Amino acid sequence: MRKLLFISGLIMMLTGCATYTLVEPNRTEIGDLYTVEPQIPWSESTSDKTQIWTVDGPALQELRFVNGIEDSESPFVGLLEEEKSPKFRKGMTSLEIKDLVVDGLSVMGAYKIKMKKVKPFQFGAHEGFRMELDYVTEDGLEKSGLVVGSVIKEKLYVIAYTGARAHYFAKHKDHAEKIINSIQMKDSKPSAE
Amino acid sequence: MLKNVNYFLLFFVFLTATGCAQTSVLTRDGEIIEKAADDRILLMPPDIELYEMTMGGMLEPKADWTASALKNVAEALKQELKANNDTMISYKEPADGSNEFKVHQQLIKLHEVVGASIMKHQYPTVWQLPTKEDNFEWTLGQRTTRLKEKYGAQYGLFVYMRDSYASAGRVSLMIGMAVLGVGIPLGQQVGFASLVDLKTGDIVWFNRMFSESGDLRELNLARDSVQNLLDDFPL
Amino acid sequence: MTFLKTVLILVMYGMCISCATPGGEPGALGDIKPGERPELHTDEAGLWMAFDNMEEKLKTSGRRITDPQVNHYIRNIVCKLAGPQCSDIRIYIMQIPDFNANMASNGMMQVWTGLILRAQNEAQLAYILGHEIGHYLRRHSIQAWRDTRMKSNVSVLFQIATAAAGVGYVGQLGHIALIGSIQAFSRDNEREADDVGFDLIAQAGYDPREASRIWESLMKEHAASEKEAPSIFFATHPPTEERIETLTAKAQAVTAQGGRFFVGKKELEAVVLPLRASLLRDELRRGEFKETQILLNNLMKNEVGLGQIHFFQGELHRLRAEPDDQEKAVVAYQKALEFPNAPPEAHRALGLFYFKAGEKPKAREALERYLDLKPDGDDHEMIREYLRQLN
Repeated sequence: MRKLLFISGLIMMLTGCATYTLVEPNRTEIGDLYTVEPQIPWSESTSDKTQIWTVDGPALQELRFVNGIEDSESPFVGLLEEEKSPKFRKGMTSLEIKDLVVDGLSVMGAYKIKMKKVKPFQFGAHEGFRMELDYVTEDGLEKSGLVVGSVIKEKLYVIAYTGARAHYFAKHKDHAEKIINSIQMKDSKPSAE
Repeated sequence: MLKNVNYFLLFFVFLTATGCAQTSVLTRDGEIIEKAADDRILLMPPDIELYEMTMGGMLEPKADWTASALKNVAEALKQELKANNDTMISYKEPADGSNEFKVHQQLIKLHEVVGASIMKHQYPTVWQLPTKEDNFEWTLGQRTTRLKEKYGAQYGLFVYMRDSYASAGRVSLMIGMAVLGVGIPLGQQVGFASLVDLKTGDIVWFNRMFSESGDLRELNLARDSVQNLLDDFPL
Repeated sequence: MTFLKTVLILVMYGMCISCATPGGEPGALGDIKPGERPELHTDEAGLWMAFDNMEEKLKTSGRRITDPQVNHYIRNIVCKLAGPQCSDIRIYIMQIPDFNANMASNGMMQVWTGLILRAQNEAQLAYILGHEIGHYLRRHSIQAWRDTRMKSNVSVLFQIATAAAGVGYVGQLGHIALIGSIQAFSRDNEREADDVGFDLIAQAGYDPREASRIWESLMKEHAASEKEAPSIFFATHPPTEERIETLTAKAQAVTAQGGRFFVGKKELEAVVLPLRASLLRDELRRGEFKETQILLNNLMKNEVGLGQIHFFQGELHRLRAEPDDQEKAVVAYQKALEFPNAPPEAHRALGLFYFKAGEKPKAREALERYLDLKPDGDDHEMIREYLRQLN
């Protein structure tokens, strides 16, 4: 058993993968800025500024929260080589951030990206953007995505829901939408309570 | 996909103890499911490759071995399913670039990712998902009805196998290293199979196997491997 | 000590079996003939099988560019060069912004978009394709594969020493070697492929002087990058002075006899221009701004679609974001708009810059101009929102 644990540890070190813990459906903190209502139980893995929720595994569907990316930092940190990671610059407009997200997705292996419905969006109480897209992975699997983002106090926040277009994206898309619409800033007093 | 397959191999290399063939069956309701007798089962193109492990530990692809393994596994599956009162139907690839080709390709690709996800997240590994702890709910979605309509089959069977054998040089190296008290791998057989209800797309049965013996190059031995692979196959 | 000796003898015995087929001198294997397939029991057939499987994945990869025009164009060049063997070669144009092409022993040829973007004319592109066809005809993959296998067997001998010292047995080389066999060839193999590529383009009537020119511009780009790890093609095909000199001398010998030589600048441009915006976007995503700058300089000299090139020059500055880059970006966008057919995105980029700078009238004008030119762009709702905020 000790050997197994050692090997598990070794695999984790080599792959940089974290283990998963359960997220209950009650209102949950994302980073230290806001909370959401998860709707359903999710499996979560976290690293520095990223939280990933999934039900069937990130290769099939994932809801990725990227929190508090600072000036000259990349929201894709840890996923891409340094020079290939598109950098966030404070003062970027929502459209530039949308382009940045598309650049990063593309370097990560999203091909034949088709943008649909890029729109202004209220991220909690903050101005942001929302977009939907279709793409194909390097292996040729069709996927879809829904992304929202905003700059809050000069830091970038992104939520990206992606998944296999057949079944797995649709399976939790409504939940992802509801989660995104349930964003509540921690410093602002909710009006209903 | 290469990445996923490597993960798959990694599990077996690290997490499976040595010994004879090991299998681990999962089903949708957590128990052996029942299906109607004399079903038509569509065998999707089996993904099988055989390698020779060179003395240096490189896996050298072997075309002749793979060709006989493909033949033997298909034959063994056919016999095994027949003994189960089912009829095996072989898949024929539609013309490149046709719409049908694209739909089938998407299903095959999705199955690769689902298979790898089951391996990674359903079995007790470090990546096991809490959301998958007490249920086995995996599907390829409704588009499998396209296969059902075309072949008039109730189920689809996906098979993946990798098999490697030590070269003469590798064997002598093993003996030499054993003298020094160091064990080195001589090759192994790994595989997984899944049975998909083509009406719903649901995976109703899934098995993975690992063995340090067995030989797909011989029909008789391939039959043993196929029997292991179809462990607890729904009757 | 006797222990180790016994082990070594056993292992040496094993080695003699596994390296019964030597790695092969250039030409030792004989060229591949039209329609030839290796016999099923050979190691070459095994390699073909692995490549066939890889090719199945390539066919439906998201990276594959299926645009019929460019596929047809490259197929024609390959057929001009490979003649009767053209039907044995399958071409896959892959959306990868690095300069590269490779060819596997089963006839699967990959052409990366970074090469298509960088070749300055058809003769240059043909030379690289001819070089790869050379690797194929001379069966360099199987040679490289056999060499790797032999080396891995030899390296095991060193591992025995470590095992004897109690360090334990270390891993396996696995699939890396397979990929390596279509990327890294010996210097002799490279020289041979240079020769074949050169002869093929000369026979097909291409200007042979372009062969050394594409190596030269690759060297220039590499020198600018100041990177320790060069691009994959550069690393596997080091364009040495010696190779360039050889090619230049050969070209002189051919051109001295006189005649007409085909360069094909316009022909290549006609195919690349419709794709160029997307290829340049991928190029910028590499984040290798120094290399990209050299490429943009070359494209500016060509004087085709200059509006687009200046726009991407602006994008380079905007994304690099070093001091002064903002001002340089604005200048480049403005320059772009002096040319007919400048991309509408230049208006958008300027509009967003003025929007951030609080220069409302200029921002409004630029964004409105963009909307006029591209009323159905995927971002039109966002632009309208900015305009609403400006009013």
